[in-house]
Amino acid sequence: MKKIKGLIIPLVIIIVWVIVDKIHVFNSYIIPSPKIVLATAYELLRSGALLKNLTVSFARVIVGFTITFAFAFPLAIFLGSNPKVMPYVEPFLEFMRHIPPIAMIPILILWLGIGEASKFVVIFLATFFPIFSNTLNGVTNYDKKLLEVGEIFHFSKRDNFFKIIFPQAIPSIITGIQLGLGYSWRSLMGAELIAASSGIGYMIIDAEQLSRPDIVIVGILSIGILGYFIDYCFIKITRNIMSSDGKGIDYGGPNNKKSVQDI
Amino acid sequence: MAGLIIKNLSKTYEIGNKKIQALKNIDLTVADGSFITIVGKSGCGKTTLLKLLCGLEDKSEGTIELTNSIGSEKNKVSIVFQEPRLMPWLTVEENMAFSLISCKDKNYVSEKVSTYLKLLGLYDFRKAYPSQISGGMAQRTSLGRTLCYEPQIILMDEPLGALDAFNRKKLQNELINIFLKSGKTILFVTHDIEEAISLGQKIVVMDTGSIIKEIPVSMDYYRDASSLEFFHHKKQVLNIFNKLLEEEQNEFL
Repeated sequence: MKKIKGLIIPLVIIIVWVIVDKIHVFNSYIIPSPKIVLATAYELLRSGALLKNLTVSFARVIVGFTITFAFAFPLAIFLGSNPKVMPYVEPFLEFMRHIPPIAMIPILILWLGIGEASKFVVIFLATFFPIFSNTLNGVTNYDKKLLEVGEIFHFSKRDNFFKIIFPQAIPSIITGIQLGLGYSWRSLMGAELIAASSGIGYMIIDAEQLSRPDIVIVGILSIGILGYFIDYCFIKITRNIMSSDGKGIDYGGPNNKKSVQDI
Repeated sequence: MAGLIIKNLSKTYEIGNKKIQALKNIDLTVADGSFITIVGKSGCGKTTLLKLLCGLEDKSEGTIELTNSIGSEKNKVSIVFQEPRLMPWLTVEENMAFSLISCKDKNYVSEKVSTYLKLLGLYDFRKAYPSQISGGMAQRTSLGRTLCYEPQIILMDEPLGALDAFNRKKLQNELINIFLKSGKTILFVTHDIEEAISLGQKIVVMDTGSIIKEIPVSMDYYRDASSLEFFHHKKQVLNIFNKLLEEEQNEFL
C-alpha cells in the first residue's frame, strides 16, 4: 500500500505531461512529448550511451565517496574522542562548510584540469561534511548516564567507546552515510556539467548544446532513478546488517535520526 | 563480604561562584553482610552519598574505608541506578553479561548470567530487548547485571521507585531472597518509609546532607507490614519527619 501511495505523484506528473503535450500548451522544444522522451531513452539504452555515461558517473561517485568516508569517518571519531583538539580545527572546518563545492570548480580546473581528480575533490568537498558532522554528532551526543554504567564496571577507555558510545552513534553515522551518498551524486552532476568529457552530467550539457531537450530529460530521469535505487539498496543492506527489530533504533529510512537517547 | 567505615565524609559542589554542601560530616559504619536502608526527602544527599561510595564522584573531605574486603580491587562496590540504564541494542542476557565484558572465561560468564536469569525470573525473556520488556523486568535485568559482577557491596539508588505496588513488593521479596542467599552488603536508598522498614536491618535517616538518626530494625524477614513492631518503626521514622517538617514550617513563618 505504501509503495502504491508513493506512485501517485509520479503518475499525476506523467498524466499532466501527456495532457499538456496533447493540447500543445508548450513548444516541443521546451517540453518534449513523453513519446519522444521514451523513444530517445530506448535509443540511448540500445546504443549503450546511457549505460556508459551512467557507469562512468556511478564509478566516480563510489570512488569519491569511499575516499571521503575513509577520511571523514576516522577524523570525526578522533575529534569526538579528543575534544581538546577540536578548537584547533573547528574554525577551519566551519569556514570550509560554508563554501559550496561548485564555487571551487574553477580553481580546481585550474589546479587539476578536467580529469578525474577535480571530480573526486568536488565529491570530497560535498560529501565530507554530512559524514563528518553526523559521525561527530553521534560520538559526542551520547547518553552520559549509560557511560556511568561503564565507569561502575571499570570498563577500559576502549570498551567505553566501542561498547557504549559507538553503538549509540550508529543511527547518526548511517544518516551521515545516506546523506553523503546523495550529496556525492548531486555534486558530481554539478562538476560534470561544468568540466567533463564523459558521465551523465556531460551527456546532459552536451544535449543542451545540441538542442536535444529529450536527452536532457532522459539524463535527469536517469539520475533520479539511479539515486533512488542507490538509497533503496543502502537502506535494505543496513537494515539487514543491523537487524534493528525490537532494539528501538530505526536504522535507515527518513526517520533514522532518532537516537537511543530518545527512546 | 565487605563492610564500610565512613568518617567525616563531606561533598561540596561549586555552581558558578556558589558553594553548595551536599554532604556534611557523614559518619556511618556498615557491618559486613548487613542490609542498610537510607531514607530522606529529595535532595537530602542520599544519591550523592552513593555516588561517592562507588567512585562516580570525588569526595571533598573525609574517608571511606572498606573492611574485610577480599578479591580484586575492581568488584568491591557496585551500584544499581534508579533507572535501569540498559543498553537498548542488547538483549536481556547480553545486558546482564555486560558487567563482565572484560572477563575472558566465556563459560563463567554464561554460567553467571544463566544463574541470575533464573533467580530473577528472566530466563524466558533472555532474548528480548529492553524495549520489549516491562519496567519491572528492566529493573530486574539491571539488578542481574550488577549481581553478575559479584560486587561485595551493592548500592541501590531507589531502584524500585518507578514500579507499581505489586511489582515493587515482588522485587522487594526477591531482593530479600538474594540478600539472604548471598550475604552481600547492601545499601538501599529509598524515600518510601515502609520499603525502608521492610528491607533494612538498620534505617539511616538523612536530612540536608547529614545523618540525623540511625534506627536498628531487629525484625525477621519477611516482615509483616501490619505487625505492631513494624508500626512502631514506622512511627519512629514518621516522628522524625514530622519534627523536620515542623522546623521547616517555623523557619518559613
